[in-house]
Amino acid sequence: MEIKIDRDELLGNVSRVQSIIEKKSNMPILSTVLLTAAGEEVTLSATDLELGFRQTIGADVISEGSVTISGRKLFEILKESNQGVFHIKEKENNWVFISDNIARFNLACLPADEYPSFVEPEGVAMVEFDGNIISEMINKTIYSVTMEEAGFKLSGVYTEKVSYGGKNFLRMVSTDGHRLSMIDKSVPSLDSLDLAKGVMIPKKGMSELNKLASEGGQIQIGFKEKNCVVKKGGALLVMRLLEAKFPDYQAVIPKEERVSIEVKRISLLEAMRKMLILSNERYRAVKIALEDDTMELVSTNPDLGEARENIEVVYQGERLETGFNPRYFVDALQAMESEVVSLGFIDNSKPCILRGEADDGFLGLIMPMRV
Amino acid sequence: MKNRNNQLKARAIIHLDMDAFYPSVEALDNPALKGKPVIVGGSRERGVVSSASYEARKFGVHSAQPMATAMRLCPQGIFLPVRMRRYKEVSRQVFEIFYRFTPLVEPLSIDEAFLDVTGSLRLFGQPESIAEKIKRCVLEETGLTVSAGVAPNKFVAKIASDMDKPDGLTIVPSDRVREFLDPLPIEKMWGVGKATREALMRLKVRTFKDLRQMPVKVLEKKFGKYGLKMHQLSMGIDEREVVADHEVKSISHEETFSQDIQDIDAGKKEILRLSNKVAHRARKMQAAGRTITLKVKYSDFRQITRAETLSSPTDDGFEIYSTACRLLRKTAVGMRPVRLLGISLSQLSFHGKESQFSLFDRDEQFKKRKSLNMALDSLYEKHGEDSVRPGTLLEK
Repeated sequence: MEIKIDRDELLGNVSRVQSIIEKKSNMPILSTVLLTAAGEEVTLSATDLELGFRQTIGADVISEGSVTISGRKLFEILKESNQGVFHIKEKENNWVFISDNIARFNLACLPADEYPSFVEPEGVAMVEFDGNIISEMINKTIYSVTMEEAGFKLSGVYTEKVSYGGKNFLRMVSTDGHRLSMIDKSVPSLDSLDLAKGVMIPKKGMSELNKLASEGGQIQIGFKEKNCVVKKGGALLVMRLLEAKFPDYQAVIPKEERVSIEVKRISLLEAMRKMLILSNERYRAVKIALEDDTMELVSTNPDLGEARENIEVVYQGERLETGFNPRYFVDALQAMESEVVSLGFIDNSKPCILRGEADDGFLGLIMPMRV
Repeated sequence: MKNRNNQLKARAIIHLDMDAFYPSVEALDNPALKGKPVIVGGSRERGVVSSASYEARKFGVHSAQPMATAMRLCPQGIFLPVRMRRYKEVSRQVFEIFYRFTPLVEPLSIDEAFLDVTGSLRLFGQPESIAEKIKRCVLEETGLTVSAGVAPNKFVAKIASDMDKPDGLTIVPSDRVREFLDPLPIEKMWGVGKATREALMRLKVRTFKDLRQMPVKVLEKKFGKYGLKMHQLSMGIDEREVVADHEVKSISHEETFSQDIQDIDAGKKEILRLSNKVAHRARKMQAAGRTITLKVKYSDFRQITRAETLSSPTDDGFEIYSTACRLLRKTAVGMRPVRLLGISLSQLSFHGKESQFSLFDRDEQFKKRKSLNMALDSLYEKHGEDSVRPGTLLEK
């Protein structure tokens, strides 16, 4: 295998697969990328066995074939160069020669035929979506996927088709057990999407999908058996769906709220960030008190001290006081876009409900804390 | 930065080690025991020696020795059970004295601590006079003796406190560290056990001086990182700081049985008991942990540990117990005789009085267990830890 390839294009793609390749794995080959030259194209592949990514790039193919190269090292070599074209050539005994015409690297590589190449599932009904909408949906749900590695049951975004009011919606929901975020978007062409039951898309896959979607333009998505397939331009992403069962989330969405107030999103976000300053492992709660057109936030940490901030709201009901983890508010408010958000309360053991006019189809739930 | 500041001016570290603490407390409570070979430890059949008086040590009795061996070596010895509650009470008194001289007290165990008195010199005088004052206060207020080592760092201070036991006071000024360490046999070094000692012997290293004069490269090649560490220590270099208020990293309980446990049900019973103890202590500390470790020592003293990490922290005895039972399947308990079982809870988080509500149902059961645990805790407080126990743990 021997190619000449545009440095910028290769760098862009090698850079985007850094999050896929395994840094520490007992299979060293998973830390490599596979370059396959055929016709007038080079295909770059990366996989962690759960998720595979492939991108074709136009190149000057001098001779066809495949090599594997450490993904990390290839990235660093490309990054440090300021030349326009790279020359990559396979040599004997799995040595690979890489040069930008100034520096010459000879790298000891692993045999390409040992690369665990993934197969693209056949006969998948691909449906076109607006990349920006998919990206918005992911941004507004991915933050509440559980962070704990052992909490694998919830470590993905639940995706399903729902219909109400005579319309079909694509829905994404995520929860870590303490908070939940959900977004519905009405998208044309949803009918042809083969998604009879909801599926769990792993968090890592969702963030890869988001990278493709956030570039804008149209993106094709399809489901088949245990896989989700995504295509965009010369890129192909195949991910294995999680087999875990998602909890009955509908049952925990409150039917009505007792108190609803409106507050400027940025003011509340900034105030919650300040409350976070005094929170630690042991004391993390912020107390929200509503009374007399004021929303008072108080964070008390016996080890450090106390922080308070008042925000003006419209509220004349009886005093309402509830504790929350301010981190959850920061995450949700950061993902939202509305200038003004509405907060719904029921009592101090039921979730706070977040919505916003410019966050069409979005619903956030945050469970309180006992303080 | 802190380290560097300490490097600039010599530190004054005191290591304090109570002399034969458990037997001394026993002799305090029963003066007839004074001057007698007193041995405090577990059961005669299976237990080990926790601590022996100096009179008993003359017979070759030492801590961690099986009680049976101690009885053979010292048949005239007075063998007493461990009265931990009492020792803790005395220990608290002693530590209160330490805290009068500096807030930088790092407890190593119930009867041993490091003190950094660098900042107390103006207030209390030279380090040696602080050590003398502490010794006097401990003797006057508790009737016990403590040995002290004064040095510019923890490593040298600890060796120094051991030089002149009991009731010792050894001072090693910073310009005499090398002179002090050089002649010492290499076993005095922390971490040097039998295997390392033999390996050092082969290199003809017997004393600190021999070690200090070895080329670092040889030590590094032979012992890796630890070789470098040893070389530093042999020169009396130890930059570890005295860490006050040691963060608790794990909560554990273990039990050596007076008779080997043969069947798995008996093992599970013990695990239930230990799990409840660990959980109770966690709740008392307002802590919960994610990792549960089961320790098993077989009758041939071979020891294994098995651990599992949960998705969220727990302080519930039953959850710890169920996890430990899963771990039990990865051991030979029930197939091989077992001498000791232990449960530990780690990856702790401290939640204070706060608790986060959950969205999903785990809660119904969870809430019930939570209120059950709260009720249990108040009973334990009132009537002691053995007042309530699961039916399976009732003695027949």
